[in-house]
Amino acid sequence: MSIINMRIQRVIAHEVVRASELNTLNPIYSNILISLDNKSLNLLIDRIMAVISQGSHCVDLTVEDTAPGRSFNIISNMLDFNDAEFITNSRNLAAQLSNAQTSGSIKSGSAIFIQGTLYDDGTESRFIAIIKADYDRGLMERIENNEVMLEYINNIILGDSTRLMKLALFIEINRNHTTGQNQVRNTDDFSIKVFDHLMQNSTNGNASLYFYSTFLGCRIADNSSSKTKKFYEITRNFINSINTGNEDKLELYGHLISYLSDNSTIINPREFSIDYFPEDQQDSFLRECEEQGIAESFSKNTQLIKGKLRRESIRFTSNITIIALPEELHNSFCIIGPDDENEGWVKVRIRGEIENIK
Amino acid sequence: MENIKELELSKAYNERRGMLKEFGEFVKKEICNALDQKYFLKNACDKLLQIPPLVRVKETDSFIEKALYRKKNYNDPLLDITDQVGVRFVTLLLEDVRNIGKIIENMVEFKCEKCRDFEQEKLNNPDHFTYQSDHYVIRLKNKININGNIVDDSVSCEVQIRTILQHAYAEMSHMSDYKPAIPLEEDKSKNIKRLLAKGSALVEITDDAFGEIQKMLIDCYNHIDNLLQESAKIYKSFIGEEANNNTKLGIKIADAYRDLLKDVNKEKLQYWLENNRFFIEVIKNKRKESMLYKDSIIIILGWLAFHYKIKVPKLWPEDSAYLEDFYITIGISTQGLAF
Repeated sequence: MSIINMRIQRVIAHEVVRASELNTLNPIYSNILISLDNKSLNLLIDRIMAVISQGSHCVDLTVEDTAPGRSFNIISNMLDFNDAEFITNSRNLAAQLSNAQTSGSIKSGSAIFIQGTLYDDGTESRFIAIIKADYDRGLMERIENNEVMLEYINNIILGDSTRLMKLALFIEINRNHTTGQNQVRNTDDFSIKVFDHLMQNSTNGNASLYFYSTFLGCRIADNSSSKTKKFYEITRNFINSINTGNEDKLELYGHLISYLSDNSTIINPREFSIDYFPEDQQDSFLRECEEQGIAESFSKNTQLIKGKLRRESIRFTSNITIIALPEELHNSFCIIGPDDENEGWVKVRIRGEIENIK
Repeated sequence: MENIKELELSKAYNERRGMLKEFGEFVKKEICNALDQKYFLKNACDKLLQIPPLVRVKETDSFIEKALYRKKNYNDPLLDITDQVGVRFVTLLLEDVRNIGKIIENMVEFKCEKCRDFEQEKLNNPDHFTYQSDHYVIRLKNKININGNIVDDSVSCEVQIRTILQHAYAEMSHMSDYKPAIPLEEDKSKNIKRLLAKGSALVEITDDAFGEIQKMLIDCYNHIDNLLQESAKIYKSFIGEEANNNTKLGIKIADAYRDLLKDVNKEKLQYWLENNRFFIEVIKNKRKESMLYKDSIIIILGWLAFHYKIKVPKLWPEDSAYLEDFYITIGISTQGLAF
């Protein structure tokens, strides 16, 4: 995936609030498209690109709910709507988003609906992007009578922090549909990506559900378990192939096991490469992942490699295998290196006493 | 009788000295001009030579001593002694010694004779370590008038070419061995000879090492230079517009990624671009607004960013905002990278 040359054709923004406040706060739904100057357009594009381009944390979604009036049905048709319909339907979606915001920790903010075109792997495609932008606070510098004043503001959106935005991107990868309104589009016509920093950690996993599941009617793409397995295999093979000592390989392998076992819910091969591989191997690892089609972030699903994560093993050429829990292997076992005196022997050290011989 | 001969020869030689100086200057100037052309440099001599070439006319006493006291039996010393005027070219590298020699051999207005060829002398006496320098005796093919002095092919000028290390040896040797002014005891004299031979051997080793260094630098530079030329051709053929090439920016960027570019060639760049044709569109769109996209280095940078996403920002030699913009433009996230 290589998304470039994003161009924006129409934009509208509405207020979104918590579901419980819908009746009291009367969120504002706009009636007109926003005309943005070049700087604002470029900023908007930069913010979107920052979270969806190669190596970012965005992941693929699969549509679950295609019922008329639900998000996918509306969004997929928005591409062909005239401006008035685009506005009405975006208002409808904004209300649906507010309705989905039931959890107490969700903040109010803006829902921005964008239509445009982009190049995805060299093909020009239409897209709809929906941004939920949380308000941020800050101080604004203002010059008054030649004095610098600072003014409190609490409704900045789309600042530098990606923690304050969620993005759903619907890219139309197949345009061969009968034009006409309110057609039911095939879910395969779209490639759907979502970015939500809350998805990166399973302790927050449920917190992100309201956006991609309740609101968008989607679920994490089905291929996550096979991708996770592939990532495990590619990384393991890569570790074995690099020119470094066995102790280093064992350590790298340990990092792989912890990365797959920890609380994070997204696998980002670039992040793994930078965090664990030595500098001169980082790009080669990433290239290997690119060639195998798993360089982009995807949702972690260890279903198919549970056994590997439970037990780690080291096999010697003499047919002796050491099997242990990953954690134990790293805390209570170490390879010292080849034995200087006896050729073909390796010195290892194990913490603990012999408890049992079978 | 002998005294009268010496006096006459002295007088005749003194009368020649002005003409010899003019001829020496002429030879020097012609060689320097030829060097400028060969190296495409203005004042190549100033840049190439370690010591400015000086025209030296033999002192009268020295001439008489050579003509009459060394039992060399010259028929006509004024014609036969070839180093009455000389000019010396001292270079850093052996390769330049060879180049200057070739330039002299190819100069149409001169007849030249290589009367000392140190490469040949090494072949003839492989176990000797001694004076090394190329000497040419140069004469005009046709008579000319140089500032009122008529010079014909009877007048010669000796041109010496050597490296600065060979020159250091020659100076040392001159003081002690070549023309001994003070007679030394035999054992001391032998010891000095031995020390000089050691020095000469070391000079030869060092000159060879310097040559190797130069070759490595040239190989490296040539590769980058070729790659920049090739990227300009690729730019032209894919984008359909001329690229800025060999710019300061381009060279600076290529230089920063020298190591990563070691195995990159024209074919790899082309193959990559053919498989990432969207990049052509990016260049076409951005070339109007940004210098970077008008420069042929953009092709190389594109290749680098695709193959070394993580490393490229670490080595970027310019303001990181430009590279960050480039990454975003071609759809590579900057998250977690060293910007």
